[in-house]
Amino acid sequence: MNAPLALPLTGALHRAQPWLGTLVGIEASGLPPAQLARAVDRAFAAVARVHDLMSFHEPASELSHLNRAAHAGPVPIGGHLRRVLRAACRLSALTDGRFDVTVAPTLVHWGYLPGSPDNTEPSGDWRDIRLGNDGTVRFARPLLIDLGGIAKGYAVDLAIASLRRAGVPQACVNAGGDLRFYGREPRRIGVRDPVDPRQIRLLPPLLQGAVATSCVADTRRRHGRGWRSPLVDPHRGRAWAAAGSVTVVARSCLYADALTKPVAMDPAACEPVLRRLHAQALLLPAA
Amino acid sequence: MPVKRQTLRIIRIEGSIAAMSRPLPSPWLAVPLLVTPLAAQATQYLSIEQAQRLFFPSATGHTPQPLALTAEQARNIEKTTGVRVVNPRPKVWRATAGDTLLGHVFVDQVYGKHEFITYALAVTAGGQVAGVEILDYRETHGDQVRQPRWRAQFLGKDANDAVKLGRDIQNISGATLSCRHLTDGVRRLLATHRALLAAQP
Repeated sequence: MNAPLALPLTGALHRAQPWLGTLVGIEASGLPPAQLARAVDRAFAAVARVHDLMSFHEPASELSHLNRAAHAGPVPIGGHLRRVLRAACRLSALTDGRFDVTVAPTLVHWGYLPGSPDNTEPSGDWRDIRLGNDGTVRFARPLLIDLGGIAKGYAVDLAIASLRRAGVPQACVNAGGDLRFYGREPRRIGVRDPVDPRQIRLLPPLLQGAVATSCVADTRRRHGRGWRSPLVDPHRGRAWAAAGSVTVVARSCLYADALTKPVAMDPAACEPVLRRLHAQALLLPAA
Repeated sequence: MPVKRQTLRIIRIEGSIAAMSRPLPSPWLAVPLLVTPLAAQATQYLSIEQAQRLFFPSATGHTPQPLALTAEQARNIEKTTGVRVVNPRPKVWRATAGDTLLGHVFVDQVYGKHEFITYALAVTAGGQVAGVEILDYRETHGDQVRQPRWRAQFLGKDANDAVKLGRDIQNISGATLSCRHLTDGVRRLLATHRALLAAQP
């Protein structure tokens, strides 16, 4: 007989591992320790799968293969990547291109993503992603896709789904501040104040939901007289470097994660999108 | 009223019963109240023993293995990995099942601009990474993390000694932290494993 894992008998487990370029924490409670340990293992495996498939940095990932080959002809892709690309294109259409996963050439050029800046001439946009009904994808023009603004949210959603399937009654998955949770007791999520990171503001208590925050002040760099940041305005090819933060509360972490970017660029224009996706946004100004 | 018509249209598209039972909320959240300043945040995930059991569940023993890098070995590791070796005496345990070596568990610390992380790395007898687990994570927005004395106070201590988050706040959104220092640390430990442990029987 296998000895059960001697984890605390309170039936709560909190683990964290490095994935997707950040720390992913999983907190689960309400089952016997051994069952909980297995459920959390499987949830981490789901996150690892997204990391392996959608990493821009790994040359062997499905995404990297797509970036190399999809211009030449249709490339068959798996269900996970297809779902993320479909959601990304839907969001691009809803936000009139303010959300766009094809801004990677600019990010490579600015040194936020690896690659040689010579062959990163941006040539197309999200409308050149052609998702076939036969499970293939093709680029109408050469593209570089980076899913850094949406894959983390999808990974969190997969992990949450896995925990629910395992019968875990209460859990929270947090990928570097993009998080989703459910349970019997309401939770209060804190949002860091962009003016003073030592202060946090509390959201109202929620039984379940997803919360993501985008704060470019953490990542922007001075460049000449202006700023550069990983938040690229696809319309103008310029960095969005306002110092405030945008928090989105949504039903899925994929949409919470992805929506922070277009809302940061143009909050008023995104109002119908937020309504449509049953999401809410919190704008915290820089000063 | 135009607002109301729009609400109805959305309900029809989504077909959601939950949305019909209550009025659709405004898409903008009111700015919530500021809470008391939070000087430091600490989260404890696993103890060293819990991590060891997770990595090698079939192990019957975990014995500490004293290691000391010579100055030359440390220089070599720095050259191949590009990561500075701060501590020439890494903490390592041998995981064994009876007489068979299953692998090694390293416990190490890394720090970035605001964070100080204790983590465990498991390496199989064949030199493969078996897993990385964060043991505890401390974040500060003062300059303390740069001071060796601030970091030293946590070495070998329990997370309960540190400042904790308020009870009602379980998570913070927008704490985008990079795991670059952690991946550097893992690279450094793997080189250490190759230099000191891989050749051992």
